[in-house]
Amino acid sequence: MANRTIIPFGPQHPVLPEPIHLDLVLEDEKVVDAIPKIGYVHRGLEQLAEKRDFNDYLYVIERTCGICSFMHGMGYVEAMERIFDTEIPDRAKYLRTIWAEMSRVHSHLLWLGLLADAFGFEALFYQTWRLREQILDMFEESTGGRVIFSVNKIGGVLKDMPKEMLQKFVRNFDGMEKELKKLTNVFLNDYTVQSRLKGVGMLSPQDAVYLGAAGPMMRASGIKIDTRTLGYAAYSDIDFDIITSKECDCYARCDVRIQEIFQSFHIIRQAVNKIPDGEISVAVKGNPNGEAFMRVEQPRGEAIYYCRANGTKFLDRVRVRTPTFTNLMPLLHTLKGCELADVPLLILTIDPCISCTER
Amino acid sequence: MRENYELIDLSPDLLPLKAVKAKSEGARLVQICAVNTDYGYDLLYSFAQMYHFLTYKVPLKQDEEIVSISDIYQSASLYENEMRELFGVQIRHMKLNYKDKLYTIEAVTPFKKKEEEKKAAPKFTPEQIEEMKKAAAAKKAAAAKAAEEKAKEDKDNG
Repeated sequence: MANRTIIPFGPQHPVLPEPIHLDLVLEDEKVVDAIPKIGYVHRGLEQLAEKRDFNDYLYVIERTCGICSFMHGMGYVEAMERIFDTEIPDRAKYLRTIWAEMSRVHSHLLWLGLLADAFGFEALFYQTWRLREQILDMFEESTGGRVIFSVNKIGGVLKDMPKEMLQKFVRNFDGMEKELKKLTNVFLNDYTVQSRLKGVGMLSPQDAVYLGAAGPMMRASGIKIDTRTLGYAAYSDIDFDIITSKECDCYARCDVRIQEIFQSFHIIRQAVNKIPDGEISVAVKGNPNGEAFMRVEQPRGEAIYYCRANGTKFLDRVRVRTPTFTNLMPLLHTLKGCELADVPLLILTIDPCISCTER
Repeated sequence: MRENYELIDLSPDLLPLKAVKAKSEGARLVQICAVNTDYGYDLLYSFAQMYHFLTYKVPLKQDEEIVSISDIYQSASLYENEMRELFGVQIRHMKLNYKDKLYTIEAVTPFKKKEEEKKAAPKFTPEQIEEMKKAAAAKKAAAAKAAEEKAKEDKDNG
């Protein structure tokens, strides 16, 4: 047996936007084991639910993460709406769908940029983030915020998007789609990119299921599961396919995410065409009593919200099962047996969001 | 359309059996979490198949142990380590035990309910809340009446 060395990876590392620590056990250049350590950005947000009014807590949960803040807010309010047994107006459902898909486009573009940066393709990184900037501008125009939007409320949404704005957004997305197609060509067909991604970090379909992979990580292993098909928000009225790949490697994860961006454009166009006129929220009175689960598909995968209320304005428990937390186990599995040089790429292809993981 | 989700109470010793059954049916383990209660914890184990979301609620006393299901579902390891470190749930036969080193935080079991907190937390019954609302409404009415009288007085005076 070769000598074993332990190499600490993180919490500060050029490839990591957020702190996570891994102790990599190496035999020569091969990783044989990885031991994770999290908690550098643990804020105890779940426990804060006991000390904040359930309406105010929405603003806390949105701050779980800066990228899918809208989705966190949406998951929480939909769980609370189940407790209140409220049906929200159709227009609010469509608005939520549009913002959710915009968040997905934003998140995937951000990830593609980080990926390009990780294998040293600076020009591609700048091009991708230039596209992402347009999405942020659209968020600013429609919600007033670029990171935290706070447009959800229990019983609907707080802001409406006029017809002209929606049509302008669709025109913007048409332009973005054209530009993204050119970038896709580089991401999926460029020789240097392929040499870094193909055949790296294989995750078999069976492992993907039993190690608890979620989202694009799971779909890249050929498992056809997408929580959007459950039909929350307005997804039940929208026609879309679940994008999967059978390659099971890092390249497949990149491919799935890119195709999902195009699909998000498609969903937004449909939603804009179908959005009905009317109210954007209903009044919800009283204090919640009961418990409910809610599953939403975040850009990184399935997120689960659990709320338990006791009839007062303070909740007993809010639980957020975030996709990165469940993707850690498949990550540790794929790390075993890989080369040390591939570790940053492998960590990146689960699209890690450490703030979500630790809450 | 809303997914079909079930919440079933389960005794702690039946949990491994149910986990094996869920796995044999092809369900995924999607989350495990602990909820503080007066008697200790409620542990929630959720399994998902496409439109079916099944959660077992396992009540556990504070000093009781529960058997790990990480042998059946490997993905359970991280959830169990999290419950152990944040809530202080005692878990037996863990396949992967990070020994309180997963979270690098100074506080020991920060989410565990402390004895003094249990007493301090005021919990009102719906009747009490109704009474409080009535009292508040009466107070408001009295204040409004006083203001009205004062306004009338002021008018009379000048």
